[in-house]
Amino acid sequence: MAHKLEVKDFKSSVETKEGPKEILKGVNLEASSDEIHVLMGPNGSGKSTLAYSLMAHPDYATSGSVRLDGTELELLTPDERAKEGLFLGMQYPVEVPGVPLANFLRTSLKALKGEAPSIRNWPGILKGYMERLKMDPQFAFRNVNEGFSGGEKKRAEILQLEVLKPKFAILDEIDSGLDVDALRIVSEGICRSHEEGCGIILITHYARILKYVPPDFVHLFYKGKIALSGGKDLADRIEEEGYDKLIGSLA
Amino acid sequence: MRADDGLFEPEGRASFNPADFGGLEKKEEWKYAHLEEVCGFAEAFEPSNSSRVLLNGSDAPEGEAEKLLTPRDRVEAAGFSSVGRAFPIRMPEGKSEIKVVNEGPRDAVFLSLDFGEGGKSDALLSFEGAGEGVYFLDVKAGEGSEASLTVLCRGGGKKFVYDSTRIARDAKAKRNLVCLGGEFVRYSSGAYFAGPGGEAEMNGVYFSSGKNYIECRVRVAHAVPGCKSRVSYRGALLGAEARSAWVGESIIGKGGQGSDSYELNKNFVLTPGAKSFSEPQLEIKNGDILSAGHSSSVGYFDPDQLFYLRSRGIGEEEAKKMIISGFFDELLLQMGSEEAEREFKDFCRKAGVRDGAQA
Repeated sequence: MAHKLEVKDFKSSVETKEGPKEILKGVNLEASSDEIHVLMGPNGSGKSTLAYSLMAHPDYATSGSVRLDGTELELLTPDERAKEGLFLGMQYPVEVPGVPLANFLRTSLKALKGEAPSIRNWPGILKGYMERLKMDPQFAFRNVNEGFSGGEKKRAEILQLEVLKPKFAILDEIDSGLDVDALRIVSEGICRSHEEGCGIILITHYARILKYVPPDFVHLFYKGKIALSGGKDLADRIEEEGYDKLIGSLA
Repeated sequence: MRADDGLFEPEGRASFNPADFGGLEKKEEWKYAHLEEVCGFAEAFEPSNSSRVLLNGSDAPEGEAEKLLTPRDRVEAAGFSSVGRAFPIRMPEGKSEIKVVNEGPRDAVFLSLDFGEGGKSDALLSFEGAGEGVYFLDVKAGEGSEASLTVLCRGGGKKFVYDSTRIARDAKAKRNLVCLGGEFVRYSSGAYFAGPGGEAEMNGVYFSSGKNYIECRVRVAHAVPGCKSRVSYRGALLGAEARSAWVGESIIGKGGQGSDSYELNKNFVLTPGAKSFSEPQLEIKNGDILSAGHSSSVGYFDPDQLFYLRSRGIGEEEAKKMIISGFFDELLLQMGSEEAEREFKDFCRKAGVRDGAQA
């Protein structure tokens, strides 16, 4: 059965020197896990804030409702949200010195599923996932994201997505900084997860990833809200006309 | 004065007479410790001679030994003039273990360890017991030798340790320190090169908890050409009253052309309020060197690291433990001492900052 993510009147603000600044001004979005949703919007429109706020990053104070399969997530911590099945693929994945990727993912699996794969079988299982993403198996023994190139970090995010199998994944600019080959490999990983039942919310600046990850819905994000929704054709319009013109025509 | 003083510190103040240093003042050597913690050690005392010194399980024989360097602070001079017994030990090749255990009153003991020439030795030395004391440790890595010595500093009682390593031509000395405290530990490690082509690797981990104070001073002197030194120390502080200080000095003298040195110190403050000082110093008197650098930090948990781990389902406490383990594990691995690794990890587990399962 498909999973359902419902975001209602979701607001988010950050603390600044001048007091709290509201960035998200009431986002409404309903998505089913058998759909691919794409969020596009100009720089500073609040797309990344939405991604991090949905995962309860401590920098943001939020209000409104976020439900996954009917469970309210709004008051849950990041790890509790992950346990409910939410995943955030980050634009700038964080380095964790001294913690090898394989150990980290095994600990994560144990936390999420209550049971970790056996130490004996785990390297083989992980290697299988890494091969599909054309990752050097040595990365399993390297510290999480430490010294990874931009492209390697993004592959490692998709590796985590495929291993952890969440219900819904928010992928924040997962395509930025990737060359053509890496873009295809990362896209294939996203599509595999989706075929296995993971809902996808893809945040991007560029239409080029949509060639590989065909969207069912495209949303134009502007000034902390979804300003316009449509299908693939909306992405084409954005690509042709640019944000300024399109937003101008809305006013 | 000693013949090697010029290799270690040509210009500094040095004397066997405590009075030559004047009174203790809250500066230089004593700027981080509380003076009331050290003032009781400013004068010579009658040693209890209660420490047992064991080499591979048997009592080590006493003997005569000459200290490598002249004392450089008042407590060192007072402590050395109080030394009741010296233990010159010719280290066997391969593995060996030394224990210095003091369960009695204040003691002053001098150990002089000779690793010989050309051989390869790997030794473990532990300071144990609830008794306090001033300990002197001279380590001689002879020409072409590979000398590895790991020191575990544990147990209660105030401890001052003055540790010097002399590295002869083409010798490699690896010095590891695991310092887990007692209420007060001040551990001074010096290493100096007595011939070209030497290498010094000095690693240390320390953990100050409760109301403990740990001070580590590391000094490496390059007075001869073509030597390499790497100093890498990491510490953690748990509890609002825990304190630590680290002072690293790297001195490249006029004769140190082609020197290659790097020193690093990182401190992890696990509880707000705990105080950690880190002071790297680099002094270069020769323009013709390979490289010299240092890096030092005192930090808390990185909220972005915590968020990243938590976004993958790992709870806050476990995420913190992972980050702490990650902070130390690579250095423990680099030390290459199973005992040091086990000792430190067990300590962290007992302190509740490491998971049992993660061995």
